[in-house]
Amino acid sequence: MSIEAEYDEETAALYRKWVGRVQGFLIGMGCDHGLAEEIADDAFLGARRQWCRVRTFDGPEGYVFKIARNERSRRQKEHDDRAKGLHPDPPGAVRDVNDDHAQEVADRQTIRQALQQLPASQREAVTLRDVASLSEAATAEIMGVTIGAVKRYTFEGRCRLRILLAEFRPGRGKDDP
Amino acid sequence: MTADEEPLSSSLRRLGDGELNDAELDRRVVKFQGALRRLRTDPAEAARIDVLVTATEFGEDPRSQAKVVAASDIALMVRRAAEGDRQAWERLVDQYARLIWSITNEFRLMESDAADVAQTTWLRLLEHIDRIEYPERVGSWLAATARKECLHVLAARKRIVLDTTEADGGTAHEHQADVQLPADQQTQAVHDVLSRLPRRWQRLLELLMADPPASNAEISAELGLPPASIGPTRGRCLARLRVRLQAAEAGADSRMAPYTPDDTQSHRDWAVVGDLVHARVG
Repeated sequence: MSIEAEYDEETAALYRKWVGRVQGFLIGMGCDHGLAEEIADDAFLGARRQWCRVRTFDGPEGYVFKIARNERSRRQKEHDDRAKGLHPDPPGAVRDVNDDHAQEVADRQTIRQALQQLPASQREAVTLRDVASLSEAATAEIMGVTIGAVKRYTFEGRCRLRILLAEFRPGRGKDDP
Repeated sequence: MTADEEPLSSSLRRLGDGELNDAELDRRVVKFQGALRRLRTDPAEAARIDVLVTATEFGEDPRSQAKVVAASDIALMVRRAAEGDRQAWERLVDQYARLIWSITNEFRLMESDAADVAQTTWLRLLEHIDRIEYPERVGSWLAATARKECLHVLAARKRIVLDTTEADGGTAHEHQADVQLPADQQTQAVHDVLSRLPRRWQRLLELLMADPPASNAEISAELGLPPASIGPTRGRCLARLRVRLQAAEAGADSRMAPYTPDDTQSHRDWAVVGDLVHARVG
């Protein structure tokens, strides 16, 4: 097997393991499903371009998250301009599935809406820690802040998110009987 | 994590993994493998992905427009710009344009002056980019250059304001000769008036306006004038020159014009007369 093919295989293995979480991070940060998929794929391709170096890192996925984070900011605006006035999810997406799945999709939609209400730093820390399941150190490295800052952003973000979710889900909030 | 946080984290984690079931993941991996092949065979695709990598490696912070760039990257940008890399040059401009504008703001320059300073500063960088000793400190170099250019603009403006003030003020009539005479006539008039001053005074003006100017000690030695007398003599000399220029303009006999020493006026006249003397000496 050539070195290029070997690198392709390693990158594909990384992709299989992490693409869901990278995409979740992007969705948590406000991207719609199509854009998140596009950016996640590009981020892994970026890692492949530098794979001879990136493969030596302790956590090569951190490099992917960095590219994804950077690219999201740039492309989100372009995408918003293009898709202005369009609903991010195709109409009827929830109606076409069974009740359980519809409830799950609705829950995800609620969480996404609540996440968008958080300040950017808290949203980023919460999505990296809880959606992408990254460690505090990896989150700090990706965000370019200290671990202490990550702890604070995450704690404050979770507290705020819990309040927001209670508001978004009447009848399931902590103040309800 | 507390027990209370557990359901929240579970919900959040589903946002990531829950978006992709196994079938969807297999489909995505196949698609990604196709993208990997295209990356190897299509140079345009490789170039597009390299742009993303470069943007990340240069440390762009997506949360703000300010870019935190490592010193080694700055040095690299400077070197590439010196070699003619247009993209590197544009990145340098992006990186430091705000710095230069902030310096022009410190000096409270008008917008047009600030634009001139910014343009001149970048021009200076372009001229010297291959000779910058510490390329990683190009920001400091640009800041120092911008400050120097701001001072030049302020100095030029100060000279202009001085002329305007005098023209608008009550002493405007004292410079009517300068304003009303055409340039060639003015030069001739100054030449005539200077030639009618005492020889010692002519020489004093020449020494004072020399570039570099002669020191008081040198003037004192050449003219046999006590150093403390040089200033007052210069004042009388300029006053006489001004009066005779007015008289020449009025068509009167300059030899009959009254002589009124005015040290304050002589200081204001100094810059104007200096230029005239330069013209004569030159």
